[in-house]
Amino acid sequence: MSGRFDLSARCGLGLVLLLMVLSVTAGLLAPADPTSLGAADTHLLPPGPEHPFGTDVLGRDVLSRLLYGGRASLAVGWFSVLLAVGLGTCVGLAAGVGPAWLDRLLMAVTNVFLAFPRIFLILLLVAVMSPSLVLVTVVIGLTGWMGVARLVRAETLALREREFYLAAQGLQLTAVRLALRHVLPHVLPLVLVAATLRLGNAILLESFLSYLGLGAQEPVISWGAMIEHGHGHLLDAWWLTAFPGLAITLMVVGYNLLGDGVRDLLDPRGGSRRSDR
Amino acid sequence: MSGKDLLSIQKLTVTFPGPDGPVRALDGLDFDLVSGEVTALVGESGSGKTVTGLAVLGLLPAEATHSGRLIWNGVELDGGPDHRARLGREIAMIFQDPGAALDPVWTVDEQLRETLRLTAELSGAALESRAVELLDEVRLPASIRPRYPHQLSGGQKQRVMLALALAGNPDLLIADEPTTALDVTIQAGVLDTLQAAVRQRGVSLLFITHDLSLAGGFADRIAVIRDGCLVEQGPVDSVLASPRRTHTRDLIAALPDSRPPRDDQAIATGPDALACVGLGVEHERRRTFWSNTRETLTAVSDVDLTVGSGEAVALVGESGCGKTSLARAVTGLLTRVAGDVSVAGEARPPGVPTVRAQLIFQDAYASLDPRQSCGDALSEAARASDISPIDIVAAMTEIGLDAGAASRYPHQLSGGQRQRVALARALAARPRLLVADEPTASLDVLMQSRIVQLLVDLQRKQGWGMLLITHDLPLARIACHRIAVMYNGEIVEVFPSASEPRHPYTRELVAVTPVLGVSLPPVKTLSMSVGPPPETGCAFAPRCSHVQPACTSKKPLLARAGEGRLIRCPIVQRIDGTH
Repeated sequence: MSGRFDLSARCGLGLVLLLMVLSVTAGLLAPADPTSLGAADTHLLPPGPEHPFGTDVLGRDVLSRLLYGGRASLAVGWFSVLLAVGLGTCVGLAAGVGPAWLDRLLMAVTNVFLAFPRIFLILLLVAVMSPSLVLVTVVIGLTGWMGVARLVRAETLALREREFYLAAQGLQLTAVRLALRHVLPHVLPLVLVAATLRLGNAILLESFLSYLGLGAQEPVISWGAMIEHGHGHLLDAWWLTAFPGLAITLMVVGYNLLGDGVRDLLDPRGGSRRSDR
Repeated sequence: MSGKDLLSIQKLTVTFPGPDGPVRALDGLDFDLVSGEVTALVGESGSGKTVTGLAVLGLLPAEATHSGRLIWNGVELDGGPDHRARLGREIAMIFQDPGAALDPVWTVDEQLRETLRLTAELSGAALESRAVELLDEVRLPASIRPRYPHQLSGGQKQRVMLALALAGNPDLLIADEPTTALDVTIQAGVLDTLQAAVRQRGVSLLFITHDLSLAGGFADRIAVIRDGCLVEQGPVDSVLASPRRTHTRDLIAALPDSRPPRDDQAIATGPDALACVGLGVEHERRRTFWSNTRETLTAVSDVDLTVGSGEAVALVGESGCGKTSLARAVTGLLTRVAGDVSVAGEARPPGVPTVRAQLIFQDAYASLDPRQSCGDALSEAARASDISPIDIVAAMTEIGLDAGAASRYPHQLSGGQRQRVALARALAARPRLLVADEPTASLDVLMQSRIVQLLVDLQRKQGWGMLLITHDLPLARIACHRIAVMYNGEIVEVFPSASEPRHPYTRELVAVTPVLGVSLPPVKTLSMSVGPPPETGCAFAPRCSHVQPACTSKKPLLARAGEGRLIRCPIVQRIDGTH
């Protein structure tokens, strides 16, 4: 693991950290209360000294709303990925280490989940229940674990062929101990890479659902919902959609660059790293 | 000296950049190659043998820096274009791994023609007749020419390499461990061919090897190197008979064939450590990529083998004879298809491992979890046993590891230390049977002798039974009480290691195994027919020099033949008379 964290990965990390700090410290940085309605003459003000990013149809400060809105993206992104990767790792380990019948069963379930179009599944689930960010998090998590499960299972099957695994089997260790002590440490870097690469995607999905009105509900602020509110004013109030759009783009690009960097650093099979011999 | 100096290596120093500063691979190496002689360059791994060969070829990696001089027939070789131009024409190389040195996408014929065109500048009919001569010289049939490297056996590949090396009529041939990857029987044939070619042409040969016995039987002169310096050099007989330097003496003393066979009595302390009856193991593989039909390959068939408690039994055989399958089947790591196995008097179901039988692997590094410290590995094994846990520090000291090794990870240890950790882990589980699968094959001869001695001492002290799996007959003799010889998945002979073997296969093994001070015998039969074993009769019959018509019709049984001896050969009495 002597790969280097290259420039683009460092940019990604910087971007991600910056957006994270801004969202967490939104309470200190925001120039105004993001939910307080302005007087009639403050509606749809263009960017200016008073409101750097302008105001929306109800006179709320767009910059403040952006800062607070980052919290929703981050929370949904991190928790959904945590759920997906955690579930995927457990399923993958159980399928890889466990007996053949368990492997067949779990992989059949995985394939069934994979066979559903993800967006359709998410829309269906969110539509039948009352939409909220928690629901969005759970749904994104529950529809995103299959790739991780297959990755972990494949790696586990490869590890099973290694002699140290045979030696551990020879000690009559329990399957749980085999999985946790002799497989998990080896798949952890892969899982970390998978998690980072999935974060950008999860954040994008959250914005998408909120844009459709199926995610964050008022008064919870979300970038996707902000774009939805502004899309009726695309021509006369561009700042309503441009700034949240830019924020989403920066966040997703940041996580993708970081994910590529982490993969180059941790995954020995990553293609772009030069051999150091 | 009989001939003139062909190559003179003077004060050759080669340095590689390392993470902790430059590493000296060669440190002022001085020695001369005499024209028309075979010089063996002997040393342990890391002594600079291969680097010497690469330096002579001018093929050192770009990051290496070197000083000193190489004088070739009075001309200095400097690694420049003039030096490169001599490769193939004046100096040629045979590598250890012919599989890697032959291009997999070209047939033997194409590679041979290309080499002849480039190095001997031949074309047309002259090229064709040289190609035929060369293949004849390395004793390969013409039918091999349209084949690709992957369709050849290891010995055939090495013969093709030899033909390619000889194509340019070189004055010097460098062979870097050319037979290390081959079985002894194949090795003998390849070396015989190499020797014949070299002697007939009067080519000089620099034979790089770690095997002093082999060098002794093959070379005219011997040069021993250590840490990039020459230890001593001279004619083979004088160096081996009266070595002047301690390192040479140590190397000779460490050879299994210079020590007496194990002769202490096995002291039984309980039920047999291992008893297997009628053991059979099969491997399945898909016949083609598309079809789902599977074919079964019999790896082990009908093996009866007993290892008493406190007894050490060796299982000897060529690669692919089923040794490792047997090791894994008796430890429950592989599911057997037939037979009964009991470990320490307890019957074992197929495919279920038991802590009572522990396996140690040839590649200790692969058998240790890279993310587990050595101390953790040992305590995990100790907890696995239901007998009172052992003291980890005491166990490590007993095995020759300092207590500091407990916190280290496998990649921080040397090869010998890794094998000690693997052994300590296996013993921490308090087994009644230790199966050691080629535990020393990847170690240098000095470390090999220490690990074997350690195994024998611990076995005597702790009283477990040992099944030592090896391809090295002299090693089996010094480490074990009895030797079982396996051929094609069957046991063909079991005999006490102090006695002489009688089965024709074991006799062949003994004859082709290099022994210090004995020059290699000429290979009588070209027993190279590697095809599938016959359906009926004795599996060894196609290679046997004593084969009789009856041998091919009826399957011989493993029968008692004297004190502590079993033989699967009905005509062994008659064969005894001919020897």
